Amino acid sequence: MLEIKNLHAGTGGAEILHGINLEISAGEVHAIMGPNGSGKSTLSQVLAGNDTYQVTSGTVTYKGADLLELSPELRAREGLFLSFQYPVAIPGVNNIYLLQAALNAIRKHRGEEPLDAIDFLELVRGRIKEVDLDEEFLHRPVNDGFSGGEKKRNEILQMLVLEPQLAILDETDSGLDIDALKLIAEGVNRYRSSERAILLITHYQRLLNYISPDKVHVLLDGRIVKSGGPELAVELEEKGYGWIQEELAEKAL
Amino acid sequence: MSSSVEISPAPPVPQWAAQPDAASFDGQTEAWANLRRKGYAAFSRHGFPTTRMEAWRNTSLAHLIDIDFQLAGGDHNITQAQLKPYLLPDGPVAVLVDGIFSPELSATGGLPAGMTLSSLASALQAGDTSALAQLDDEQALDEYPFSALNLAHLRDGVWLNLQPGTQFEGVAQILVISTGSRPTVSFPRLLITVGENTQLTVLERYIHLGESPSLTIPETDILCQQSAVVEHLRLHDENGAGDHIGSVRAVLRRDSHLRSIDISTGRRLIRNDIQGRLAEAGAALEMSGLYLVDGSGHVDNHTRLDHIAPHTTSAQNYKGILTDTARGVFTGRVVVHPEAQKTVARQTNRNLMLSDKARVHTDPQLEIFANDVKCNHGSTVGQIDRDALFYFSTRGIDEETARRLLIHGFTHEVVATLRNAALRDCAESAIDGWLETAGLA
Ligand SMILES: Nc1ncnc2c1ncn2[C@@H]1O[C@H](COP(=O)(O)OP(=O)(O)O)[C@@H](O)[C@H]1O
Ligand SMILES: [Mg+2]
Repeated sequence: MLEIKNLHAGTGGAEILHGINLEISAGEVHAIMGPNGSGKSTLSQVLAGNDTYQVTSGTVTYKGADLLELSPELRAREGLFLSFQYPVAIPGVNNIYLLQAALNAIRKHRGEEPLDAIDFLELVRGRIKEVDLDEEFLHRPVNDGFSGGEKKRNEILQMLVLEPQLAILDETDSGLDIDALKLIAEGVNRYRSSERAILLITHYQRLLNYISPDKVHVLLDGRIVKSGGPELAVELEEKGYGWIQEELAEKAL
Repeated sequence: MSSSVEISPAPPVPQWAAQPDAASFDGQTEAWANLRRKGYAAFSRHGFPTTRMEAWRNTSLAHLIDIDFQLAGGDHNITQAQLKPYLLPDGPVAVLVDGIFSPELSATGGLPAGMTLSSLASALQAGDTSALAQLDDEQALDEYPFSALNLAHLRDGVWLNLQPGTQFEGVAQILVISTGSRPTVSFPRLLITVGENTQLTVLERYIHLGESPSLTIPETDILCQQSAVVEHLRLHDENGAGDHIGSVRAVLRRDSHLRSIDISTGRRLIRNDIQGRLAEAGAALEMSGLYLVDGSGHVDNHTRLDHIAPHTTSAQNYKGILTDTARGVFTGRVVVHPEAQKTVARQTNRNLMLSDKARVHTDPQLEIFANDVKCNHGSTVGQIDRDALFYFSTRGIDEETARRLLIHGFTHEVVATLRNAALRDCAESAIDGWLETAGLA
């Protein structure tokens, strides 16, 4: 579904990602772990199409097409979804307008009729329960005055409504208490299917206690330096990132 | 050619602002005629505003000087059907055509007892001294040249009156039309007087139906007695051909509450001189506005709120969206008089610039002569939030829709304060209409 080859990207002339290679197939859940500042969010933003970052070399193929050629809205309509680490507050625009405009844009792209207000509300009502948010949430301005946890749940709500094929969740777990974390994890687990792929970006191993990934990658200083199975996450939790750095340094000698 | 030395010539007065001719006084009572003369005398003391006057520093009227605007007679061939797009499905409406009350186009029947919506001229003709007294205001004459000029040309208008205790649940509409196959000027006067313990919702709407340029110089006076509650929306639907120099004067007595919102849209000149007087304790005034300006349009909101009595509250929230080479001006003066302790006055002016050639001048002026008050103001000038645009795009939403959502979001804060749903809808469709004509939707 997604194939990243030797991706170099940065901003303002400074390179942040120094050659990322990653392949995710439909049905898989991959986790990218790494310390703060290692480039996790940059990778997710580049995949979503944020033009703050420039791709200087490498390729990204999504469902067989050149992802980097697509505008952000086309990427979204083609089923790519990013749950932001820091979702932006948009005063004055109600959540429900955003959701409706988004869903109908995606449906239109798929050649489907827009949902009318009643069907739309029914759909959203069903999904909002899964993230345990109150319905009045829909009538509040997007992310405006939301707590950290509410923002993350709202991102997951959007994922559940928009039903993307590739979901990139950028630290959706940080700032959540254990109950909220479980709730989000359950939502993501229900979401897993053989047609969908999920890229979990996280700083801690905590989330991976509830969502078992097929593969774990360690991102350090803009490079994927180690990949493995779920046991790698446990090892990282026990030993931190330091040992990988040491291991790398030994190899370099 | 004269060879004498000219000493600081007075700026020229356009012919449309010249002294009203004698014939225009025919059939008016002596008191009425005297009030008009007083108005013209006050206007003459001001002279025709130029950018050398402080209050007109950022707004030039030079392009209006040489246009041969004529007073129109009020005769017309407008049909009810033509007005439909501008009217609510039901509710009373008073229609002014070039400043003259039109009984054929108006629908003023079925009002609750204690409420009248009628021609101002009829009242003045009948020698109604209370109406005359309400129109005579020294401070307005001293400070506002166009309030004075409006009075000088007082010919007709609308008088909307609620007797004490009258609650009106509907929306009273006042439609002010300018017409003309030639350039016309009009001086409509809207007098809204509400007695004690009344409740009123008013939609005041300006439209332009002619092909020629028009200049409308209206004044709206809203006089609220004790515990009156009034909501007032002022919409400018004049298209590009209609310039507007208007005044709003609000006087609030004890515990009365007025919410007045102006939505100025388009690509021409609009000047709103807005005065609010919180004359007695407990008065609360919300004066807000949206100005949505495109082309080479110019909208100037010039407000002055006087907190005269203690325990009075005012909130002003003016928000502008400017594109192309549009200009916006906001001058917000708040005067807290020495007796007005416990005043709360809040003022904000936010501007969203959609073009790098658009400009805005914002000038808050707080003059506080009492010590126990809470006053604050803030102003911002910014662009569309790029992060928000990106966020929308990652949800599949195209840029045009995203911009429209963000622009509505920006205006929403003001529109949402309207309590009446019909007024909110009118405001939203005025905003949509502007987005379309400005090429933003
Ligand atoms: N817009 C930006 N401008 C400048 N530097 C940036 C920008 N975005 C990220 N960086 C830098 O790139 C590095 C990686 O950041 P980020 O991708 O946010 O890391 P992570 O998400 O892993 O914490 C950091 O050093 C950060 O300062
Ligand atoms: Mg990050």
